[in-house]
Amino acid sequence: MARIRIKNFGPIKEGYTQDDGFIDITPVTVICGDQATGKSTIAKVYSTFAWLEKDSINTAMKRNKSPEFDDFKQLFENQRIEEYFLPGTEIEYQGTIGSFSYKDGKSKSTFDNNLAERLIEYKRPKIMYVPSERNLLTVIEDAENIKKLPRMLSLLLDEYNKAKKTSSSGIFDLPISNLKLRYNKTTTATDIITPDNTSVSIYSSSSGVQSVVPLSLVTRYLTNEITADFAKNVQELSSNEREQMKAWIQEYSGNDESEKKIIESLDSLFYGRKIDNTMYSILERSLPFFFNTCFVNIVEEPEQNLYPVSQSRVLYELLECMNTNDHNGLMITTHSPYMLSYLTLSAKAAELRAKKVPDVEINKVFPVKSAVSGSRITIYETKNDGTIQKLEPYESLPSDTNELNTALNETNETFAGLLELEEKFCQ
Amino acid sequence: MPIDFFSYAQTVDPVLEFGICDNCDKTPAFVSTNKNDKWIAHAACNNRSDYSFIAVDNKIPVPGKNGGMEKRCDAMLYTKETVCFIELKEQKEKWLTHAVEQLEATITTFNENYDITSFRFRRAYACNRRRPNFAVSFKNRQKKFYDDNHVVLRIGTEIAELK
Repeated sequence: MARIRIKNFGPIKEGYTQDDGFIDITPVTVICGDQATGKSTIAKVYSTFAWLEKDSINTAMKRNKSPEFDDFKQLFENQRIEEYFLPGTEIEYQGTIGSFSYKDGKSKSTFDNNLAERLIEYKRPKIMYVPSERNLLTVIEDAENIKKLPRMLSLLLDEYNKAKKTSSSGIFDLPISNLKLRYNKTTTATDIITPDNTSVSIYSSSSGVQSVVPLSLVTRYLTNEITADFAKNVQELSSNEREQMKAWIQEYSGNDESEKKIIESLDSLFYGRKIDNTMYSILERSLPFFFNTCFVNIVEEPEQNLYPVSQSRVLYELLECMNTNDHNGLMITTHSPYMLSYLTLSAKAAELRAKKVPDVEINKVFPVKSAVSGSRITIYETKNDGTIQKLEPYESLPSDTNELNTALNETNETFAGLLELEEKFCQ
Repeated sequence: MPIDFFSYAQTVDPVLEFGICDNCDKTPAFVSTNKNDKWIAHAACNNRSDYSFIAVDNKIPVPGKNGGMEKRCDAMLYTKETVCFIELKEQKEKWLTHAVEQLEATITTFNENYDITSFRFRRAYACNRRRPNFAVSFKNRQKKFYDDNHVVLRIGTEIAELK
């Protein structure tokens, strides 16, 4: 589990003050809070360092030494938060193998000395950052031609186009309102089809649909694309990647005989031949870091422009995709009390599964594929004073003592106060 | 037959806050300052000595029109100026509808015996101690409750200091 500490960076001042200031990144991490309090900042910093850890491991494997950095600041340009650095900025990230920190204007990276051994524990992620401006890609017809498109949008656009093109049917189920998306590979026309079979161009569809489409298509596409199936991953290696893998084996195998056996087995796998089970286990256990074997989905405001029921559908799809692989991760930022309420339902459904309530019964009230145990969920709340608070769970369920819930309840209390005033002055 | 609610009243000791508890076992609701009891509602008292408590359900017999007992809320709190009707619930389906029915029935019975407007402030609380507690808007229900009963309804377990 990665941890991150942020202090005096953009809207975040004191940051999180418990646990030595470290926020835990759990399978599901939710950041809620008022606007401009640092929700996206946390998501962007995490995304940047998770990517840096992955990239640094590649570098370390190629050069057989820990990479060194003079300045992390430039890395934040991709997320357009390079201006958030302040004189007292402190940022620290502790990943599986790499640790990075920034303090007193100096960047520092530390890698585990025993890289070869620790790599086995590392689950290399495909990291996707889905920004809140995502509907720009479905509002403008030629988003590909926009100059200076923010880097994260540009990456999302690449994956969105791949998702559309790799589908054989060109038809995609959307999680909301029983809608489908139809992509015509010849004309590249992208249409939304309603349950009564009428269609409208994506560019003319509702803002909620425009927001959901890139999120849903890319999430589904990457979930299906990223696999922990070692044999499948080997078969999809490029020639260069195979050479890199062999070079690594030559560097770290014990002797010439075992090296030869491993490389022969690897070649056999590449050509789709069966290999000895013991050798397969050895390869699978010792070389997973050459592939993306899990998917870390970082999503800003999944609820964007959506009616509450549709918010639930989008969240359930994200959770279902996360559940397909034990090492997947989901981080969301949110303004929506509904999102937190639906997340609580997911945790309760998982609790019932653990108590052996039959899936078929749970499915009648909640989509069981989207059930995530409360122990795998952490919620943080960013505050207007620049602090971050963890919302402690209540009996392992996500807390409902959050500002979003409180704000809704306060309107009832205010209404009661107005009724009392009416009673006092209007009788 | 007149029902003397106030003959069942007990004075609440001056404390900062106290709990209102119900064992859900056909015994009346009670006041507690012991945190080991399960407080369903938390009442702010601010060391005042003018609070009185009345256990209603399982305590005050209110004969129903068709035999048996009329619906009753669990408890009442009052001061010179304020009266509160309190229903304590464990969360289950339609709990709020049931709580409102019990509160309204008690207010109706109370009105048949006293002039409720002798209290300047009239409140009703539907309390549910089970969590999670998702906030919802219930302003229309508050408005209808007020129009029907001239009592301000709140849904929550925190009873603010009485006036």
